[in-house]
Amino acid sequence: MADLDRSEQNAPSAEAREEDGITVIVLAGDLDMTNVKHVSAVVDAALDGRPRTLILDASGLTYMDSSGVALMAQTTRLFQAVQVRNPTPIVRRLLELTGLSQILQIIDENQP
Amino acid sequence: MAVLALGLVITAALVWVTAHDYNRSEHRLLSLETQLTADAIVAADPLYVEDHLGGAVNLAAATDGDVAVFRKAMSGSVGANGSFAAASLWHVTAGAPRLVTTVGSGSLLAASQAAVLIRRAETSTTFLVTELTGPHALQIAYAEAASGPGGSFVAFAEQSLPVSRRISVPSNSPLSQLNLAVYLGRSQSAAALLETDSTVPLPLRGTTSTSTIPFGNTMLTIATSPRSALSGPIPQVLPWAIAAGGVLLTLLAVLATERLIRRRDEAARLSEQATNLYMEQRTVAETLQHALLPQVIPAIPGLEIAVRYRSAAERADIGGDWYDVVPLDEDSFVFVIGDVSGHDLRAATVMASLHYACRAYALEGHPPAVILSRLRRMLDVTRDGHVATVLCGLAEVKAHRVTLANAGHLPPLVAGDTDAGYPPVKPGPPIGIPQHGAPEPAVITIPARGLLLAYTDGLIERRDETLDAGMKRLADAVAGTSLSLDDLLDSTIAGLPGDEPFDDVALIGLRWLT
Repeated sequence: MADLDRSEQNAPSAEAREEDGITVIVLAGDLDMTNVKHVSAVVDAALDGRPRTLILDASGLTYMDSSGVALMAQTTRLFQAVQVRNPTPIVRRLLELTGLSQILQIIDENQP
Repeated sequence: MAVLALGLVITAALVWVTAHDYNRSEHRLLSLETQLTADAIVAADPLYVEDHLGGAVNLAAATDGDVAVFRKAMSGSVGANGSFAAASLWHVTAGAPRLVTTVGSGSLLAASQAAVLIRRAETSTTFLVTELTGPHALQIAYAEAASGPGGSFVAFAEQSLPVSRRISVPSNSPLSQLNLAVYLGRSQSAAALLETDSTVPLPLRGTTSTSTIPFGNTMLTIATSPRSALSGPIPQVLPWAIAAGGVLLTLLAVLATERLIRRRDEAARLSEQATNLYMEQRTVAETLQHALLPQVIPAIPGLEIAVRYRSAAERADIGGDWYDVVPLDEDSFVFVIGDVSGHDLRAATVMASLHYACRAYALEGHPPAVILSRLRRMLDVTRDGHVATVLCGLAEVKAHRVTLANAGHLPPLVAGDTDAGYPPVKPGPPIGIPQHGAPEPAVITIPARGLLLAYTDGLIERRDETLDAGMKRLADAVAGTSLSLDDLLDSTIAGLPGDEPFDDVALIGLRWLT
């Protein structure tokens, strides 16, 4: 019950779209254990198109916990290449500390 | 009950208002009818008497008691042609009054009676009215006096009343709606009753109206009551209809309220059941979680070891955090801390299998990097749906040396007497993601009386800040502390904000005694 309340307050948005033939999932809000299933469903749906590359646009992702780490780790097994675009410092540091930065690509478009 | 009372009060008020209004309107209509009846009687009886009897006696007086004139004057109102049964003309002389003539038959007037009446009539400005009672008939006698050149004359007219005093009113007459009783004088006694068409016993009761009109030297009292509702049947039944409708609506409202209350109670009961079930599940989950964690931490010479596990508040599901300490010999041991993603029974079983596999590999003497690369073969996120971050260390107590390998886990905190920091341990990806080759081990040196703290992310994760900020807060809390290891671990957990951690927290602390 507490989970439902929490996820309603901070439900992250996850929206899949195509950019130059590449699947991009734009994440925003707080991604944690209470709402990771929502984002996971969007990822699964994107998988139906059998894309080889997935871009996770994390510029609007304000918070992420180990559930998000698990989700991103899983995408690396589902797609041939996973790029995390413009992560916020919170997310970026989490990816580095958990070793995920070794298996997915972090792209900072703001820095040359 | 409140609904019932309110509904009934409203209904009663409506009924009262409607009934009151109905009664008032009935009274008004009845008064109107009575007045009309009185007016009709005024037009008929008193004026009739005045016209015919007064006219005749005045003619008689003017003609000095001409019998023919009087008889002619009365002929139109006596017998079959008029209201009177009989009439007589008396000449008042110094002695006894003298009967001049009579018209019609059936007079009940005795001479002695006439003498008394004649004297009264002479002094009266209007006609006298008297009741006469005969053996078989009732009559009203009217007496009127007039003076002429030949002296005073008094004329009598006698009007028969039905013995039953009942009159019938045609059904199409406006009076047919009324019970009507006409009394001579003010009293509504049976003796004073002149005529009635009442279908109910007299005197009239209930809704009645009374009107009086002058009648010679006395008066007529007209009493009426309605036979049926004067304003028609609908206003009459309206109060009852409102009463019935109001009671019905009230009962419906009461039923609806009862139903709502019952549903609310049902919902409360279900909610309580759900809460109980939830608490039960939570207890089961906690029991399982604690059963999977080591019950006893082995004693290692030269070292103090403490562990803590705190499950997330208000959660029924089960965490995947674990820790373990595996002694190898009197100087060395392997410690592990890990966190399986997800919070369900499946995560707990993954945790259990990793926990025991890790322990087995450690007991076989494998170094941390090998333990982790073997664990990596056990779990596949695409198959098992979970990943796990694991930090594994081989501690050599006397050498103050720890060899670490890390699979996506947060780095351990190492503190000396005055400072605390995070030695660089390059993390590999979490367990569950294949990686070629073993993770790079890191060898760190623990300072004298140094402290190593390994933890799961629940301890330092906060919304709206990077992990570095959380790690710095932990380092600041530990650096230069004088607390015992147990107190330090307790205070670290107690320092967590109330609404967080949302995640479970596992802690393992190692303090070198030298």
